[in-house]
Amino acid sequence: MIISLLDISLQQCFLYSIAVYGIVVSFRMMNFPDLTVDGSFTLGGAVLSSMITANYPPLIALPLVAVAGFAAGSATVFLNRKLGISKILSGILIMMVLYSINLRIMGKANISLLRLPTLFSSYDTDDALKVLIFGGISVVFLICLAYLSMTRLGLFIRATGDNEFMVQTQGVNTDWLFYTGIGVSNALVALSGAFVVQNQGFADVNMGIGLIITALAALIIGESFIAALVSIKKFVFSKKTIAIFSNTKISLLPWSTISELFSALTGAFLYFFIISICLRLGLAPTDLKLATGILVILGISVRLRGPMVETYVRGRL
Amino acid sequence: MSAPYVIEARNLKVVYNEGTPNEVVALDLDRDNFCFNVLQGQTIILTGGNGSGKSTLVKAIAGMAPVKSGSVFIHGKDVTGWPAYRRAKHIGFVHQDPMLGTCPNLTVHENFQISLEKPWWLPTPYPLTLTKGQLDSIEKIGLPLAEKKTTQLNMLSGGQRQSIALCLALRKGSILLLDEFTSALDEQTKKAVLLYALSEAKAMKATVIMITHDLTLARELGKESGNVVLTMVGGRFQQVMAIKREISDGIFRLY
Ligand SMILES: Nc1ncnc2c1ncn2[C@@H]1O[C@H](COP(=O)(O)OP(=O)(O)OP(=O)(O)O)[C@@H](O)[C@H]1O
Ligand SMILES: [Mg+2]
Repeated sequence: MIISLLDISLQQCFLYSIAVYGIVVSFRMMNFPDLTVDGSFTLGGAVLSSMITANYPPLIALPLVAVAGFAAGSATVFLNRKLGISKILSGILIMMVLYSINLRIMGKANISLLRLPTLFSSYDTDDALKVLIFGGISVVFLICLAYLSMTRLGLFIRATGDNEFMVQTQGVNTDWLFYTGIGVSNALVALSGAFVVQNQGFADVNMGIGLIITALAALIIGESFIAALVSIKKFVFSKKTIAIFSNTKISLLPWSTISELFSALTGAFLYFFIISICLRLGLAPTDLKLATGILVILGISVRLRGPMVETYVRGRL
Repeated sequence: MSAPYVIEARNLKVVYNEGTPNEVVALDLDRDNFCFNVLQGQTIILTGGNGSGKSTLVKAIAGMAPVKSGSVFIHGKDVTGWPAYRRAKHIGFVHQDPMLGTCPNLTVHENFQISLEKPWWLPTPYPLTLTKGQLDSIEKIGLPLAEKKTTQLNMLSGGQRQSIALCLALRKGSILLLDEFTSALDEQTKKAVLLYALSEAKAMKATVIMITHDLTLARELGKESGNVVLTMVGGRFQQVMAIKREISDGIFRLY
Protein backbone atom coordinates (compact mmCIF):
# COMPACT_ATOMS: atom_id res chain seq x y z
CA MET A 1 0.00 0.00 0.00
CA ILE A 2 2.81 2.35 0.92
CA ILE A 3 4.41 1.66 -2.46
CA SER A 4 1.30 2.60 -4.39
CA LEU A 5 0.86 5.65 -2.19
CA LEU A 6 4.44 6.63 -2.91
CA ASP A 7 3.96 6.05 -6.63
CA ILE A 8 0.91 8.26 -6.83
CA SER A 9 2.28 11.06 -4.69
CA LEU A 10 5.61 10.97 -6.53
CA GLN A 11 3.86 11.22 -9.89
CA GLN A 12 1.76 14.12 -8.72
CA CYS A 13 4.58 15.86 -6.92
CA PHE A 14 6.88 15.80 -9.94
CA LEU A 15 4.24 17.22 -12.29
CA TYR A 16 3.04 19.84 -9.83
CA SER A 17 6.59 20.75 -8.80
CA ILE A 18 6.97 22.54 -12.14
CA ALA A 19 4.16 24.88 -11.08
CA VAL A 20 5.85 25.33 -7.68
CA TYR A 21 9.07 26.36 -9.48
CA GLY A 22 6.93 28.97 -11.21
CA ILE A 23 5.78 30.21 -7.80
CA VAL A 24 9.42 30.40 -6.69
CA VAL A 25 10.15 32.67 -9.65
CA SER A 26 7.21 35.02 -9.02
CA PHE A 27 6.84 35.01 -5.22
CA ARG A 28 10.46 34.55 -4.20
CA MET A 29 12.74 35.79 -6.96
CA MET A 30 10.56 38.67 -8.15
CA ASN A 31 8.69 39.34 -4.90
CA PHE A 32 5.52 39.56 -7.02
CA PRO A 33 2.45 37.90 -5.43
CA ASP A 34 1.09 36.70 -8.74
CA LEU A 35 -2.39 35.13 -8.59
CA THR A 36 -2.67 34.64 -12.36
CA VAL A 37 -1.47 31.08 -11.93
CA ASP A 38 -4.91 29.63 -11.14
CA GLY A 39 -5.89 30.69 -14.64
CA SER A 40 -2.67 29.85 -16.45
CA PHE A 41 -2.59 26.32 -15.02
CA THR A 42 -5.97 25.63 -16.62
CA LEU A 43 -4.85 27.54 -19.72
CA GLY A 44 -2.03 25.06 -20.18
CA GLY A 45 -4.43 22.14 -19.85
CA ALA A 46 -6.96 23.78 -22.17
CA VAL A 47 -4.48 24.56 -24.94
CA LEU A 48 -2.96 21.10 -24.78
CA SER A 49 -6.22 19.14 -24.67
CA SER A 50 -7.85 21.08 -27.48
CA MET A 51 -4.74 20.69 -29.66
CA ILE A 52 -4.59 16.96 -29.00
CA THR A 53 -8.27 16.51 -29.82
CA ALA A 54 -7.50 18.39 -33.05
CA ASN A 55 -4.89 15.69 -33.75
CA TYR A 56 -1.72 17.71 -33.19
CA PRO A 57 1.13 15.74 -31.64
CA PRO A 58 1.73 16.69 -27.98
CA LEU A 59 5.32 17.77 -28.64
CA ILE A 60 4.05 20.53 -30.91
CA ALA A 61 1.42 21.54 -28.37
CA LEU A 62 3.89 22.02 -25.49
CA PRO A 63 5.74 25.06 -26.91
CA LEU A 64 2.39 26.67 -27.59
CA VAL A 65 1.35 25.99 -24.02
CA ALA A 66 4.47 27.76 -22.79
CA VAL A 67 3.82 30.74 -25.08
CA ALA A 68 0.20 30.96 -23.88
CA GLY A 69 1.33 30.90 -20.25
CA PHE A 70 3.98 33.55 -20.93
CA ALA A 71 1.33 35.76 -22.55
CA ALA A 72 -0.98 35.37 -19.54
CA GLY A 73 1.81 36.45 -17.18
CA SER A 74 2.71 39.37 -19.42
CA ALA A 75 -0.91 40.52 -19.39
CA THR A 76 -0.83 40.68 -15.58
CA VAL A 77 2.44 42.64 -15.67
CA PHE A 78 0.93 45.00 -18.24
CA LEU A 79 -2.02 45.77 -15.96
CA ASN A 80 0.33 46.34 -13.04
CA ARG A 81 3.10 48.34 -14.72
CA LYS A 82 1.30 50.28 -17.43
CA LEU A 83 -2.18 50.76 -15.99
CA GLY A 84 -1.12 51.06 -12.36
CA ILE A 85 -3.41 48.33 -11.00
CA SER A 86 -2.02 46.65 -7.89
CA LYS A 87 -0.15 43.39 -8.29
CA ILE A 88 -2.74 41.27 -6.48
CA LEU A 89 -5.70 42.78 -8.32
CA SER A 90 -3.97 42.48 -11.72
CA GLY A 91 -3.47 38.79 -11.08
CA ILE A 92 -7.06 38.26 -9.95
CA LEU A 93 -8.38 40.13 -13.00
CA ILE A 94 -6.37 38.09 -15.50
CA MET A 95 -7.22 34.89 -13.63
CA MET A 96 -10.92 35.72 -14.06
CA VAL A 97 -10.55 36.71 -17.69
CA LEU A 98 -8.69 33.47 -18.32
CA TYR A 99 -11.66 31.45 -17.02
CA SER A 100 -13.77 32.62 -19.96
CA ILE A 101 -10.86 32.30 -22.38
CA ASN A 102 -10.21 28.75 -21.23
CA LEU A 103 -13.87 27.84 -21.80
CA ARG A 104 -13.62 29.32 -25.31
CA ILE A 105 -10.46 27.34 -26.06
CA MET A 106 -11.96 24.09 -24.78
CA GLY A 107 -15.44 24.68 -26.17
CA LYS A 108 -16.94 22.79 -23.23
CA ALA A 109 -16.21 22.44 -19.53
CA ASN A 110 -14.47 19.08 -19.75
CA ILE A 111 -12.37 17.37 -22.43
CA SER A 112 -11.47 13.71 -22.12
CA LEU A 113 -8.17 12.55 -23.62
CA LEU A 114 -8.99 8.85 -23.26
CA ARG A 115 -7.57 6.81 -26.14
CA LEU A 116 -5.94 9.90 -27.63
CA PRO A 117 -2.14 9.98 -28.05
CA THR A 118 -0.54 11.99 -25.21
CA LEU A 119 3.12 12.15 -24.18
CA PHE A 120 2.55 9.50 -21.54
CA SER A 121 -0.11 7.27 -23.11
CA SER A 122 2.31 4.47 -24.02
CA TYR A 123 3.40 4.02 -20.36
CA ASP A 124 -0.08 4.18 -18.93
CA THR A 125 0.17 0.91 -17.05
CA ASP A 126 3.72 1.16 -15.72
CA ASP A 127 3.61 3.32 -12.60
CA ALA A 128 7.31 2.99 -11.78
CA LEU A 129 8.35 4.06 -15.27
CA LYS A 130 6.01 7.03 -15.06
CA VAL A 131 7.63 8.09 -11.79
CA LEU A 132 11.03 7.97 -13.50
CA ILE A 133 9.91 9.97 -16.52
CA PHE A 134 8.09 12.62 -14.50
CA GLY A 135 11.04 12.87 -12.13
CA GLY A 136 13.32 13.40 -15.10
CA ILE A 137 11.13 16.18 -16.46
CA SER A 138 10.99 17.90 -13.07
CA VAL A 139 14.75 17.69 -12.54
CA VAL A 140 15.42 19.11 -16.01
CA PHE A 141 13.28 22.12 -15.15
CA LEU A 142 15.01 22.46 -11.78
CA ILE A 143 18.44 22.44 -13.42
CA CYS A 144 17.35 25.00 -16.03
CA LEU A 145 16.06 27.36 -13.33
CA ALA A 146 19.14 26.89 -11.15
CA TYR A 147 21.21 27.78 -14.22
CA LEU A 148 18.98 30.79 -14.88
CA SER A 149 19.60 32.09 -11.37
CA MET A 150 23.35 31.98 -12.03
CA THR A 151 23.11 34.01 -15.21
CA ARG A 152 23.17 37.75 -15.52
CA LEU A 153 19.51 37.70 -16.53
CA GLY A 154 18.62 35.69 -13.42
CA LEU A 155 20.69 38.01 -11.25
CA PHE A 156 18.78 41.02 -12.54
CA ILE A 157 15.46 39.24 -12.03
CA ARG A 158 16.39 38.61 -8.40
CA ALA A 159 17.73 42.13 -7.97
CA THR A 160 14.52 43.62 -9.37
CA GLY A 161 12.51 41.65 -6.85
CA ASP A 162 14.82 42.83 -4.11
CA ASN A 163 15.26 46.54 -4.82
CA GLU A 164 13.73 47.66 -8.08
CA PHE A 165 14.85 51.23 -7.52
CA MET A 166 18.51 50.19 -7.39
CA VAL A 167 18.23 48.31 -10.70
CA GLN A 168 16.69 51.37 -12.30
CA THR A 169 19.52 53.59 -11.07
CA GLN A 170 21.85 51.19 -12.87
CA GLY A 171 20.13 52.22 -16.10
CA VAL A 172 17.83 49.25 -16.64
CA ASN A 173 14.14 49.42 -17.55
CA THR A 174 12.72 47.06 -14.94
CA ASP A 175 9.46 46.62 -16.89
CA TRP A 176 11.25 44.16 -19.16
CA LEU A 177 12.46 42.18 -16.17
CA PHE A 178 8.93 41.89 -14.82
CA TYR A 179 7.63 40.75 -18.21
CA THR A 180 10.40 38.16 -18.41
CA GLY A 181 10.15 36.87 -14.84
CA ILE A 182 6.37 36.71 -14.48
CA GLY A 183 6.08 35.44 -18.06
CA VAL A 184 8.49 32.57 -17.34
CA SER A 185 6.68 31.85 -14.07
CA ASN A 186 3.32 31.50 -15.82
CA ALA A 187 4.81 29.51 -18.68
CA LEU A 188 6.08 27.01 -16.09
CA VAL A 189 2.65 26.83 -14.45
CA ALA A 190 0.93 26.34 -17.81
CA LEU A 191 3.37 23.55 -18.71
CA SER A 192 2.64 21.94 -15.36
CA GLY A 193 -1.08 22.09 -16.18
CA ALA A 194 -0.44 20.51 -19.58
CA PHE A 195 1.54 17.63 -18.00
CA VAL A 196 -1.10 17.06 -15.32
CA VAL A 197 -3.84 16.90 -17.96
CA GLN A 198 -1.94 14.28 -19.91
CA ASN A 199 -1.40 12.23 -16.78
CA GLN A 200 -4.97 12.32 -15.51
CA GLY A 201 -6.48 11.89 -18.99
CA PHE A 202 -8.81 14.87 -19.00
CA ALA A 203 -8.90 18.66 -18.80
CA ASP A 204 -11.43 20.47 -16.69
CA VAL A 205 -12.12 24.19 -16.71
CA ASN A 206 -12.07 24.20 -12.90
CA MET A 207 -8.81 22.29 -12.49
CA GLY A 208 -6.74 25.38 -11.69
CA ILE A 209 -8.91 26.67 -8.86
CA GLY A 210 -6.86 26.74 -5.67
CA LEU A 211 -3.60 25.89 -7.43
CA ILE A 212 -1.94 28.91 -5.86
CA ILE A 213 -2.75 27.58 -2.38
CA THR A 214 -1.53 24.09 -3.23
CA ALA A 215 1.70 25.44 -4.67
CA LEU A 216 2.31 27.84 -1.81
CA ALA A 217 1.56 25.10 0.71
CA ALA A 218 4.11 22.88 -0.98
CA LEU A 219 6.69 25.67 -1.12
CA ILE A 220 6.28 26.68 2.51
CA ILE A 221 6.41 23.10 3.77
CA GLY A 222 9.55 22.59 1.70
CA GLU A 223 11.16 25.77 2.98
CA SER A 224 10.50 24.79 6.57
CA PHE A 225 11.90 21.34 5.91
CA ILE A 226 15.06 22.64 4.23
CA ALA A 227 15.50 25.27 6.94
CA ALA A 228 15.38 22.48 9.49
CA LEU A 229 17.99 20.54 7.51
CA VAL A 230 20.24 23.59 7.29
CA SER A 231 20.14 24.09 11.04
CA ILE A 232 20.93 20.42 11.59
CA LYS A 233 23.78 20.68 9.10
CA LYS A 234 25.40 23.21 11.39
CA PHE A 235 25.90 20.42 13.91
CA VAL A 236 27.05 17.91 11.32
CA PHE A 237 29.68 20.04 9.66
CA SER A 238 32.46 21.50 11.73
CA LYS A 239 33.26 25.20 11.61
CA LYS A 240 36.38 24.38 9.64
CA THR A 241 34.51 22.76 6.75
CA ILE A 242 32.16 25.69 6.58
CA ALA A 243 35.13 28.09 6.57
CA ILE A 244 36.78 26.21 3.71
CA PHE A 245 33.54 26.20 1.80
CA SER A 246 32.91 29.88 2.33
CA ASN A 247 36.27 30.82 0.85
CA THR A 248 35.76 29.06 -2.46
CA LYS A 249 34.08 30.45 -5.51
CA ILE A 250 31.32 27.88 -5.08
CA SER A 251 30.06 29.90 -2.14
CA LEU A 252 29.41 32.80 -4.52
CA LEU A 253 26.71 30.87 -6.38
CA PRO A 254 23.14 32.01 -5.61
CA TRP A 255 22.51 29.41 -2.92
CA SER A 256 19.41 31.07 -1.52
CA THR A 257 17.61 30.67 -4.84
CA ILE A 258 18.91 27.17 -5.45
CA SER A 259 17.73 26.13 -2.00
CA GLU A 260 14.31 27.65 -2.81
CA LEU A 261 14.11 25.41 -5.88
CA PHE A 262 14.99 22.33 -3.83
CA SER A 263 12.43 23.43 -1.26
CA ALA A 264 9.85 23.51 -4.05
CA LEU A 265 10.62 19.93 -5.05
CA THR A 266 10.81 18.45 -1.55
CA GLY A 267 7.81 20.49 -0.47
CA ALA A 268 5.73 19.22 -3.38
CA PHE A 269 6.59 15.67 -2.43
CA LEU A 270 5.84 16.15 1.28
CA TYR A 271 2.58 17.89 0.48
CA PHE A 272 1.22 15.21 -1.84
CA PHE A 273 2.46 12.42 0.41
CA ILE A 274 0.76 13.88 3.48
CA ILE A 275 -2.43 14.56 1.53
CA SER A 276 -2.61 11.05 0.06
CA ILE A 277 -2.02 9.51 3.48
CA CYS A 278 -4.80 11.67 4.89
CA LEU A 279 -7.13 10.58 2.09
CA ARG A 280 -6.24 6.93 2.66
CA LEU A 281 -6.93 7.35 6.37
CA GLY A 282 -10.45 8.44 5.55
CA LEU A 283 -10.30 12.21 5.11
CA ALA A 284 -13.27 13.32 3.00
CA PRO A 285 -12.05 14.88 -0.29
CA THR A 286 -14.23 17.89 0.48
CA ASP A 287 -12.11 18.55 3.58
CA LEU A 288 -8.94 18.68 1.52
CA LYS A 289 -8.79 22.47 1.43
CA LEU A 290 -9.14 22.55 5.22
CA ALA A 291 -6.25 20.12 5.54
CA THR A 292 -4.16 22.20 3.14
CA GLY A 293 -4.87 25.35 5.12
CA ILE A 294 -3.80 23.68 8.36
CA LEU A 295 -0.65 22.41 6.67
CA VAL A 296 0.31 25.92 5.54
CA ILE A 297 -0.31 27.38 8.98
CA LEU A 298 1.72 24.62 10.60
CA GLY A 299 4.48 24.98 8.00
CA ILE A 300 4.88 28.69 8.67
CA SER A 301 4.60 28.63 12.45
CA VAL A 302 6.76 25.58 13.08
CA ARG A 303 9.51 26.80 10.78
CA LEU A 304 12.90 26.17 12.34
CA ARG A 305 15.14 29.16 12.11
CA GLY A 306 17.83 28.11 9.70
CA PRO A 307 20.05 31.10 8.97
CA MET A 308 20.02 31.20 5.19
CA VAL A 309 16.38 30.45 4.57
CA GLU A 310 15.28 32.58 7.48
CA THR A 311 16.78 35.81 6.17
CA TYR A 312 15.77 35.12 2.62
CA VAL A 313 12.20 34.24 3.39
CA ARG A 314 11.47 36.70 6.16
CA GLY A 315 8.72 39.14 5.36
CA ARG A 316 8.06 37.79 1.93
CA LEU A 317 4.65 36.28 2.55
CA MET B 1 24.34 74.28 -30.94
CA SER B 2 27.51 73.69 -29.04
CA ALA B 3 26.73 72.60 -25.51
CA PRO B 4 29.45 73.48 -23.05
CA TYR B 5 27.29 72.52 -20.10
CA VAL B 6 26.96 68.97 -18.87
CA ILE B 7 23.85 69.79 -16.88
CA GLU B 8 21.42 72.57 -17.70
CA ALA B 9 18.38 72.82 -15.47
CA ARG B 10 16.16 75.68 -16.64
CA ASN B 11 13.51 77.22 -14.42
CA LEU B 12 12.88 73.99 -12.55
CA LYS B 13 9.83 73.82 -10.33
CA VAL B 14 9.00 70.72 -8.33
CA VAL B 15 5.68 70.29 -6.55
CA TYR B 16 4.94 67.26 -4.38
CA ASN B 17 1.36 66.07 -3.90
CA GLU B 18 0.02 68.65 -6.32
CA GLY B 19 -3.65 69.48 -5.93
CA THR B 20 -3.96 67.92 -2.49
CA PRO B 21 -3.99 69.62 0.91
CA ASN B 22 -0.43 68.29 1.35
CA GLU B 23 0.93 70.24 -1.61
CA VAL B 24 4.58 71.26 -1.13
CA VAL B 25 6.58 73.43 -3.51
CA ALA B 26 9.95 71.85 -2.83
CA LEU B 27 11.94 73.61 -5.55
CA ASP B 28 11.15 76.91 -7.19
CA LEU B 29 13.93 78.11 -9.46
CA ASP B 30 11.26 79.41 -11.83
CA ARG B 31 10.58 82.33 -9.51
CA ASP B 32 14.11 83.69 -10.05
CA ASN B 33 14.14 82.67 -13.71
CA PHE B 34 17.23 80.69 -12.82
CA CYS B 35 19.25 78.33 -15.01
CA PHE B 36 21.33 75.90 -13.03
CA ASN B 37 24.23 75.16 -15.38
CA VAL B 38 27.21 72.96 -14.60
CA LEU B 39 30.39 72.65 -16.65
CA GLN B 40 32.25 69.46 -17.47
CA GLY B 41 34.45 68.43 -14.56
CA GLN B 42 33.06 71.06 -12.24
CA THR B 43 32.18 70.33 -8.63
CA ILE B 44 29.13 72.03 -7.14
CA ILE B 45 28.74 71.91 -3.37
CA LEU B 46 25.17 72.39 -2.18
CA THR B 47 24.42 73.37 1.39
CA GLY B 48 21.35 74.62 3.18
CA GLY B 49 18.98 73.77 5.99
CA ASN B 50 16.80 70.71 6.31
CA GLY B 51 13.96 70.77 3.83
CA SER B 52 15.51 73.52 1.71
CA GLY B 53 15.22 71.49 -1.48
CA LYS B 54 18.75 70.18 -2.03
CA SER B 55 17.74 66.56 -2.46
CA THR B 56 14.81 67.65 -4.58
CA LEU B 57 17.08 69.50 -7.00
CA VAL B 58 19.37 66.53 -7.62
CA LYS B 59 16.39 64.18 -7.82
CA ALA B 60 14.83 66.43 -10.44
CA ILE B 61 18.05 66.25 -12.45
CA ALA B 62 18.05 62.46 -12.14
CA GLY B 63 14.37 62.20 -13.08
CA MET B 64 13.08 61.08 -9.70
CA ALA B 65 10.98 64.09 -8.68
CA PRO B 66 7.61 65.36 -9.97
CA VAL B 67 8.82 68.26 -12.13
CA LYS B 68 5.96 70.68 -12.75
CA SER B 69 7.66 73.08 -15.12
CA GLY B 70 11.10 73.79 -16.51
CA SER B 71 13.46 71.51 -18.37
CA VAL B 72 16.60 69.48 -17.84
CA PHE B 73 19.36 69.08 -20.44
CA ILE B 74 22.19 66.59 -20.08
CA HIS B 75 25.12 66.92 -22.47
CA GLY B 76 22.93 69.32 -24.46
CA LYS B 77 20.14 66.81 -24.88
CA ASP B 78 16.65 67.53 -23.58
CA VAL B 79 15.96 64.73 -21.09
CA THR B 80 12.96 66.31 -19.38
CA GLY B 81 10.65 63.55 -20.58
CA TRP B 82 13.10 60.71 -19.91
CA PRO B 83 12.39 58.23 -17.12
CA ALA B 84 15.04 57.83 -14.43
CA TYR B 85 16.49 54.60 -15.81
CA ARG B 86 17.29 56.25 -19.14
CA ARG B 87 19.07 59.17 -17.51
CA ALA B 88 20.91 56.73 -15.26
CA LYS B 89 23.19 55.90 -18.18
CA HIS B 90 24.82 59.30 -17.61
CA ILE B 91 24.24 59.68 -13.90
CA GLY B 92 25.62 57.94 -10.84
CA PHE B 93 23.53 58.74 -7.79
CA VAL B 94 24.27 58.05 -4.12
CA HIS B 95 21.16 58.74 -2.11
CA GLN B 96 20.78 60.25 1.31
CA ASP B 97 19.00 57.04 2.35
CA PRO B 98 21.73 54.36 2.53
CA MET B 99 19.19 51.60 1.89
CA LEU B 100 18.21 52.80 -1.58
CA GLY B 101 21.42 52.14 -3.48
CA THR B 102 21.89 48.42 -2.84
CA CYS B 103 19.94 45.15 -2.93
CA PRO B 104 19.49 44.02 0.70
CA ASN B 105 18.90 40.32 0.08
CA LEU B 106 21.71 39.90 -2.45
CA THR B 107 25.32 39.36 -1.47
CA VAL B 108 28.11 41.90 -1.79
CA HIS B 109 29.43 39.97 -4.77
CA GLU B 110 26.07 40.01 -6.54
CA ASN B 111 25.58 43.72 -5.90
CA PHE B 112 28.91 44.44 -7.54
CA GLN B 113 28.04 42.22 -10.49
CA ILE B 114 24.92 44.28 -11.14
CA SER B 115 26.92 47.47 -11.49
CA LEU B 116 29.08 46.04 -14.30
CA GLU B 117 28.34 47.66 -17.60
CA LYS B 118 27.06 44.70 -19.54
CA PRO B 119 23.54 44.03 -20.89
CA TRP B 120 21.17 42.71 -18.24
CA TRP B 121 19.61 40.09 -20.49
CA LEU B 122 22.76 38.01 -21.04
CA PRO B 123 21.76 34.34 -20.50
CA THR B 124 25.34 33.46 -19.51
CA PRO B 125 26.59 32.94 -15.94
CA TYR B 126 27.93 36.03 -14.24
CA PRO B 127 31.60 35.75 -13.24
CA LEU B 128 32.56 34.54 -9.78
CA THR B 129 35.39 37.04 -9.51
CA LEU B 130 35.31 40.80 -9.18
CA THR B 131 37.21 43.02 -11.59
CA LYS B 132 40.39 44.68 -10.47
CA GLY B 133 38.69 48.06 -10.38
CA GLN B 134 35.96 46.74 -8.13
CA LEU B 135 38.39 45.11 -5.71
CA ASP B 136 40.34 48.35 -5.73
CA SER B 137 37.32 50.42 -4.81
CA ILE B 138 36.40 48.05 -1.99
CA GLU B 139 39.86 48.49 -0.58
CA LYS B 140 39.90 52.26 -1.04
CA ILE B 141 36.69 52.85 0.89
CA GLY B 142 38.38 51.09 3.77
CA LEU B 143 35.90 48.30 4.32
CA PRO B 144 37.11 44.85 5.33
CA LEU B 145 34.96 43.31 2.66
CA ALA B 146 37.40 41.13 0.80
CA GLU B 147 36.38 38.13 2.90
CA LYS B 148 32.78 39.17 3.11
CA LYS B 149 31.76 38.75 -0.49
CA THR B 150 29.07 36.24 0.41
CA THR B 151 27.49 38.46 3.05
CA GLN B 152 24.03 39.72 2.32
CA LEU B 153 23.80 43.49 2.35
CA ASN B 154 21.11 43.54 5.04
CA MET B 155 23.68 42.06 7.40
CA LEU B 156 25.95 45.08 6.97
CA SER B 157 25.64 48.37 8.79
CA GLY B 158 24.00 51.40 7.23
CA GLY B 159 27.36 53.10 6.74
CA GLN B 160 28.88 50.06 5.07
CA ARG B 161 25.92 49.87 2.75
CA GLN B 162 26.27 53.53 1.87
CA SER B 163 29.95 53.08 0.99
CA ILE B 164 29.05 50.16 -1.24
CA ALA B 165 26.34 52.26 -2.85
CA LEU B 166 29.05 54.79 -3.69
CA CYS B 167 31.23 52.11 -5.31
CA LEU B 168 28.26 50.99 -7.40
CA ALA B 169 27.46 54.54 -8.47
CA LEU B 170 30.96 55.51 -9.62
CA ARG B 171 31.00 55.11 -13.37
CA LYS B 172 33.32 56.36 -16.07
CA GLY B 173 32.73 59.75 -17.61
CA SER B 174 29.45 60.30 -15.84
CA ILE B 175 27.70 62.83 -13.71
CA LEU B 176 27.92 62.09 -10.00
CA LEU B 177 25.15 63.18 -7.67
CA LEU B 178 26.24 62.70 -4.06
CA ASP B 179 23.45 63.39 -1.60
CA GLU B 180 25.01 63.47 1.88
CA PHE B 181 26.76 60.28 0.92
CA THR B 182 28.96 60.30 4.00
CA SER B 183 26.21 61.06 6.50
CA ALA B 184 26.21 57.51 7.87
CA LEU B 185 29.99 57.18 8.17
CA ASP B 186 32.33 57.62 11.11
CA GLU B 187 34.89 60.44 10.97
CA GLN B 188 37.80 58.33 9.78
CA THR B 189 35.91 56.40 7.13
CA LYS B 190 34.25 59.59 6.05
CA LYS B 191 37.58 61.16 5.21
CA ALA B 192 38.77 58.11 3.27
CA VAL B 193 35.53 57.75 1.33
CA LEU B 194 35.34 61.44 0.56
CA LEU B 195 38.90 61.55 -0.72
CA TYR B 196 38.32 58.44 -2.77
CA ALA B 197 35.11 59.75 -4.33
CA LEU B 198 36.62 63.12 -5.22
CA SER B 199 39.86 61.69 -6.62
CA GLU B 200 37.93 59.14 -8.63
CA ALA B 201 35.63 61.86 -9.94
CA LYS B 202 38.64 63.93 -10.94
CA ALA B 203 40.35 60.94 -12.60
CA MET B 204 37.36 60.32 -14.81
CA LYS B 205 36.60 64.02 -15.30
CA ALA B 206 33.17 63.53 -13.80
CA THR B 207 30.87 66.40 -13.04
CA VAL B 208 29.88 66.34 -9.38
CA ILE B 209 27.03 67.80 -7.41
CA MET B 210 27.69 67.16 -3.75
CA ILE B 211 25.28 67.90 -0.94
CA THR B 212 26.74 68.36 2.52
CA HIS B 213 25.89 69.82 5.91
CA ASP B 214 29.60 70.09 6.74
CA LEU B 215 30.28 73.81 6.27
CA THR B 216 34.00 73.50 6.98
CA LEU B 217 34.27 70.95 4.24
CA ALA B 218 32.19 73.11 1.91
CA ARG B 219 34.40 76.11 2.53
CA GLU B 220 37.55 74.07 2.00
CA LEU B 221 36.32 72.55 -1.26
CA GLY B 222 35.05 75.94 -2.39
CA LYS B 223 38.59 77.30 -2.37
CA GLU B 224 39.64 75.01 -5.21
CA SER B 225 39.38 76.63 -8.59
CA GLY B 226 36.28 75.69 -10.57
CA ASN B 227 34.36 74.59 -7.52
CA VAL B 228 31.25 76.50 -6.53
CA VAL B 229 29.45 76.51 -3.20
CA LEU B 230 25.73 77.27 -3.35
CA THR B 231 23.31 77.62 -0.47
CA MET B 232 19.64 76.80 -0.74
CA VAL B 233 16.77 78.31 1.22
CA GLY B 234 13.13 77.36 0.71
CA GLY B 235 13.67 75.78 -2.67
CA ARG B 236 15.71 78.70 -4.08
CA PHE B 237 19.35 79.71 -4.18
CA GLN B 238 20.36 82.16 -1.51
CA GLN B 239 22.99 83.80 -3.71
CA VAL B 240 20.45 84.65 -6.40
CA MET B 241 18.00 86.03 -3.87
CA ALA B 242 20.69 88.24 -2.39
CA ILE B 243 21.58 89.64 -5.78
CA LYS B 244 17.91 90.32 -6.53
CA ARG B 245 17.46 92.17 -3.29
CA GLU B 246 20.43 94.30 -4.08
CA ILE B 247 19.06 95.11 -7.51
CA SER B 248 15.79 96.27 -6.01
CA ASP B 249 17.79 98.43 -3.60
CA GLY B 250 19.36 100.03 -6.65
CA ILE B 251 22.89 99.10 -5.62
CA PHE B 252 23.62 96.06 -7.78
CA ARG B 253 27.14 94.77 -7.32
CA LEU B 254 28.58 91.44 -8.31
CA TYR B 255 31.64 90.74 -6.25
N1 LIG C 1 8.43 62.50 -1.30
C1 LIG C 1 8.01 63.70 -0.83
N2 LIG C 1 6.68 63.93 -0.69
C2 LIG C 1 6.25 65.12 -0.22
N3 LIG C 1 7.05 66.11 0.12
C3 LIG C 1 8.37 65.95 0.02
C4 LIG C 1 8.92 64.72 -0.47
N4 LIG C 1 10.27 64.84 -0.49
C5 LIG C 1 10.53 66.05 -0.02
N5 LIG C 1 9.41 66.74 0.29
C6 LIG C 1 9.34 68.10 0.79
O1 LIG C 1 10.14 68.91 -0.03
C7 LIG C 1 10.88 69.83 0.73
C8 LIG C 1 12.36 69.73 0.35
O2 LIG C 1 12.84 68.45 0.69
P1 LIG C 1 14.32 67.96 0.36
O3 LIG C 1 14.36 66.50 0.60
O4 LIG C 1 14.70 68.44 -0.99
O5 LIG C 1 15.16 68.74 1.46
P2 LIG C 1 16.74 68.70 1.72
O6 LIG C 1 17.25 70.04 1.42
O7 LIG C 1 17.35 67.58 1.02
O8 LIG C 1 16.77 68.46 3.29
P3 LIG C 1 17.77 67.56 4.17
O9 LIG C 1 18.95 68.40 4.49
O10 LIG C 1 16.98 67.26 5.39
O11 LIG C 1 18.08 66.36 3.38
C9 LIG C 1 10.62 69.52 2.19
O12 LIG C 1 9.78 70.53 2.69
C10 LIG C 1 9.89 68.22 2.19
O13 LIG C 1 8.85 68.23 3.11
MG1 LIG D 1 18.19 65.81 1.51
